[in-house]
Amino acid sequence: MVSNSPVPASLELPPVPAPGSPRRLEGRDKLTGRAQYAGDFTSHLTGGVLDAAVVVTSTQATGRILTIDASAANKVPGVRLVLTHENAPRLHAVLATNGAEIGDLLPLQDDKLHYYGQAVAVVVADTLAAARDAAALVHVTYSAPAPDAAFTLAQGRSRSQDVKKVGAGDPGQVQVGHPDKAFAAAPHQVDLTFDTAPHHHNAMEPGAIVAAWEADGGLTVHLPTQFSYGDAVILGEAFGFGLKERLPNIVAQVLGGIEFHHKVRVVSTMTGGAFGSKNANVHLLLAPMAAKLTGRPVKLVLDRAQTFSMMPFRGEMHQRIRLGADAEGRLQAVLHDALLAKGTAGQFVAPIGEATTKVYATPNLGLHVQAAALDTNAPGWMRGPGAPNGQFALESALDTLAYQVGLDPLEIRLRNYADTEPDTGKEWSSKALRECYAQGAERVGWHQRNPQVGSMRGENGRLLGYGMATAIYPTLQLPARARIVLGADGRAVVQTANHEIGQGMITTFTQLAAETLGLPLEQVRLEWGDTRLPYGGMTVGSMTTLSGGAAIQEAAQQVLKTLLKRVVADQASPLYNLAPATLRVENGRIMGPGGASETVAAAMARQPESPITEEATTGRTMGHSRYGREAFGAEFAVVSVDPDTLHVQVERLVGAFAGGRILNPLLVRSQLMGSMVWGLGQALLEQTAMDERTGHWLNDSLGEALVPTNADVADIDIILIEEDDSRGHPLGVKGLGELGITGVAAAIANAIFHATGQRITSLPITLDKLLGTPLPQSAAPASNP
Amino acid sequence: MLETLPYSNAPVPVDLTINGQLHQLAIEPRTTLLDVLREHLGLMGTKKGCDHGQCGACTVLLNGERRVSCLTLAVSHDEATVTTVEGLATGDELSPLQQAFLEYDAYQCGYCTPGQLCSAQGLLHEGHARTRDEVRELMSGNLCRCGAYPHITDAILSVLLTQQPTP
Repeated sequence: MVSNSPVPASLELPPVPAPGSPRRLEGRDKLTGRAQYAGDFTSHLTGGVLDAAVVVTSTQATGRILTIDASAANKVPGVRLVLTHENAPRLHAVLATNGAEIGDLLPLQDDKLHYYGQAVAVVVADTLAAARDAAALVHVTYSAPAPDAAFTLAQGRSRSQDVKKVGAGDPGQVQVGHPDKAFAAAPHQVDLTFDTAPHHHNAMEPGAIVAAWEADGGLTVHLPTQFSYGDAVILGEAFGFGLKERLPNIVAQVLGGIEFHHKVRVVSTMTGGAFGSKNANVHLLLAPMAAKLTGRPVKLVLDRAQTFSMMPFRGEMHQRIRLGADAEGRLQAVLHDALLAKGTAGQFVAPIGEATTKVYATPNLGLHVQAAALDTNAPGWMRGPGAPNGQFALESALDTLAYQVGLDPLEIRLRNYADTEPDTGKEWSSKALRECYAQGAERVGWHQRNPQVGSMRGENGRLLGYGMATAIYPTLQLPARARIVLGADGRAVVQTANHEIGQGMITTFTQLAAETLGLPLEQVRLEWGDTRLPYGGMTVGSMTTLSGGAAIQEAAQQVLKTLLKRVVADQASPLYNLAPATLRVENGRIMGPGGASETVAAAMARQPESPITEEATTGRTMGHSRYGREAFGAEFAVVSVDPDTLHVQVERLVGAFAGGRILNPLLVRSQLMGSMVWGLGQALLEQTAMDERTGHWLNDSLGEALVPTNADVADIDIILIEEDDSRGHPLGVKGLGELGITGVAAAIANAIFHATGQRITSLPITLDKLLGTPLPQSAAPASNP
Repeated sequence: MLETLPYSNAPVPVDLTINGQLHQLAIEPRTTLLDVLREHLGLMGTKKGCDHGQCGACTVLLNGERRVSCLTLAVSHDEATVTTVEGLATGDELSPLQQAFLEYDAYQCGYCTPGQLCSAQGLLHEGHARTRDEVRELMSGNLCRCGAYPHITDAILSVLLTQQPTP
C-alpha cells in the first residue's frame, strides 16, 4: 500500500462472508436498478395507460364523516375520480386468514370512522402530481368524536378481555401444574411488570399496488405481498367473483390438488421489505375499486405517513412475569400475564407466550393473555411476532432471578434447560442450545468479564456491560405445492407462488432444486410470486424454506426418478438397462457404474416432445409432529454507557444459533444479522407515539419514528451450529428469519443492568428511563489501569 | 403585512445529463429531481422511501456528489450531471462497489440499495471515510430496514482498501 494512503494501515480487508455460498441470483437486478417493484410500474407495462392514485386519510379517529367536498379536487386538470364512500363499489365481506383489519372492516363502505388515518377518499389522476394536488383539496368534515375513545392501553384497560386464541391459533390461556401455589411457596420470587411501545415495520418500500381490470372482467394486480393466493381470494370475494376457492378452505383445495382458476391474478415478484406488514392490506382493495370506476389501470403508492395507519404494526403490550425458584435457582413456577392492544376491527393478538411455554423447564406454568380493542388501526404480525416482547420480559426476569440467587446468568439458563418441550412433554426433534450457549459465551468473552454489576469500564471511562438471553422461534410448516419442468434442453423450471421479500428465496429455492436434480445452478430457473403458478403458501413465520422448499425437494426427487427410469429404458442411452438405483446425477451428468454416463441435456434432447413435469404437495400435516420443534440460539450483547450522558451504545452482538441444516450460510447469516439489528432497534430506538387526545400516530415519519442506522449497529458475530433435524423436517431445516430478533432486546437490557445496575423494564430503553436512578457506587470515575 | 409573491407552475426548461445522456426537459419548478427521474423519465431504479429526505433511498450523484433527490428541485440544477443506480455499471460489468455489494451480501430486499450504492460512491469520492466507524457514521443517512448494515460497511471498506489512488 502506498505511504500517502488515506486509509490507516491497520484497516484490514473485511473477510467475505460464507465464501462458498451462492450469491443472490437476483442480485444484479437489485444492484443495477433493474429489479422492478410494484411502485416502479410505468404505463408501458399496463397497455399504455397507468393513472396515479393518492389516498386521503381521516384526521379524526371516531365519529362520522358529515360531508366530503370533492368539487375543488375534481377541477384539477387530469383528475379522473375522487372515490369516497358515497360512490365506491359495494364490496362483499372477506375473510383475512391473518386476522387483518379488512376481515372486519372494508374500506369506503360507509361514513363511520374507526381510527385516525383511515382511508376516506382516493384521488385518481393522469399524473402523480395532479393526484397529489387534488388530494390536498378534498375537504372532509366530521361529527364530534366519541368522548370515550381509547388509543392506549392506559385509556382502554376497561376493555380488557381474556383471549382464547392468539397468533395463528395458539392458546391464550395455559396452565400446567399449579403455578400460583408454586410461586407463593417458592423461596426465591421475582415479580416484574414490563411495558413495550408500539412500533411499525417501516419496510423501505411503502405499500404499493397496480390494479388493472381486464376486458373479460378479470382483475390483475401487482403488489408486494407475503401471500399472493390469500390476497387473490380476498379480491375475488370482495368483488363478488363467486369463488370456489375460499379461505381458509384454500388449504383444503391445495391438498386436494385443485388449481386456482378464477379470474383474479395476483403477481408479487419483488418486495421491498415486508416483515409481516404486507398481507391483506387496505390498499389491496382501494386500487381495484378505483380502477373499476375509471376503467383504467391504477397505481397506488402510500406515502410514508399513511403506512403508519393503513398498514399494521406491533401493538402496545403490558406484561407481568412472576418467577418462583428453589434455592438453587431451578424454576418452580413461571407465570406470564399479558395485556395486548388490538384494533376494534381485526382479530390479531400477538402470540406473546410462544416462547414462555417452550423455553425453560418448569413443573408449573401459567399463561394468561388479555386484549383490549383500541380505536386505532389494527396491530398485526411483525417480525417475531410475540417472542421478542415475551422474551424481553421473561429473560429480564430470569436475569433478575440470577442475581437474586447468586448465579451467573448463563448458569441459571443451563440449570433450567428444557430437555423436553415444557408445555407438552414432547421430545425435541433436535436442540443444540447448549452448544449455542458455549460457543456464544466463548466468542463474546463471557467468562472473562467481571460479573459484578457496574464494575467494568471501557474506553473513555464508559461503563461496560455484558448481557445475554435465549433466542427461540417455532419451526413451522404449512402446505405448499411446486411444479418442476425438465425441458428438452436439460434445463429445469421450478414454479411455486412463494415470495421473495429479501430473505433470499429465489436463490435458496433454485439452489435446492439444482442440488436435488443434480444440475448446475445455471440450468435451473425459478418462477415465483404469481397465482398462475402452483400454490406456494404464505411467506410468513420463517417457514418459506420449510413449506415451499419441501415441495420443491419432493417434486425434484420425482423428476429425477422419472428421468432415470427414462434413460435406462432408452436404447440410445449409454445407461440403457442399468438399474436406476445405481445411477446418480451430478453437475448435469448422469453417471452409472463402470464409467457409463451422459448429460441430462443429451438424455432429454432425444425426446424433445416430452419434457418431464412433476408436481408435489407437501405440508399436509400442517407441520404437526410428534416432536417439539423449535430453533434456538444464545444471544449476547456488550453495551457501553456514558456515565455523564447515559448514552447507550451497543458495542457488540454475538448470536450463536442452532437451526438445523443450513442450505445457504450466506443468506442465513444475513437474515440472522438483520433480525438482530431489529432486536437492537426494538431495544433502544423504536416507538411510535400515540396522541392520546386524537389517536394520531404523532411521529409518522422516518425522521421521527427511529429505526437503526448504520452508526447504531454494532459488530455482529453470527455463529451457526448445524443440527441433524431430519426427523423434524424432510429437509432438516428450521425457521431462521425471525429467530435472531427474539433474544436481543433482553440481552441488551441485561447488559445495561450489568453496566449500570438499572433494570429497565420498558422498551425502548431511552435516555429518560435511565435517568431515573443513580448509577451504581462501584461506577467510580475512570481508573482503568 | 405579508407580500404575496407571484408564483407560476408553468414548466421551465431544464437540461440534465443523466447517466451520460442529455435530457432537455420542460418541468414545473416544484418538481423534485426524484420525480423527474421516476415520473417524467421512467428511470425507476431510484426509489422513493419517504419523499422527505429522511431515508436516503433516493440518493443519486449530482455533479459527482451524493444528494437525496427528493429534496432536490430539478430546476435548481440546470445543466447538471446526474448519475443514478442505472448508470453505475459499465455495460454488463458491475462497478467495483456493485460487485462488492454482491460478494458481501450488502443488501436483502434491495429497495434501499440504489441509494446505498450512490451514497457509498459519493462517500468514496469525498475521501473522508478512513475507518470502519467513519464509514458507519457517514453512511447513516441511508436506512436499510433489512439490517444489512454490517455487510454494507464491509463492502464499502473492501472497495476503499482496494481502490487506493496510485501515487
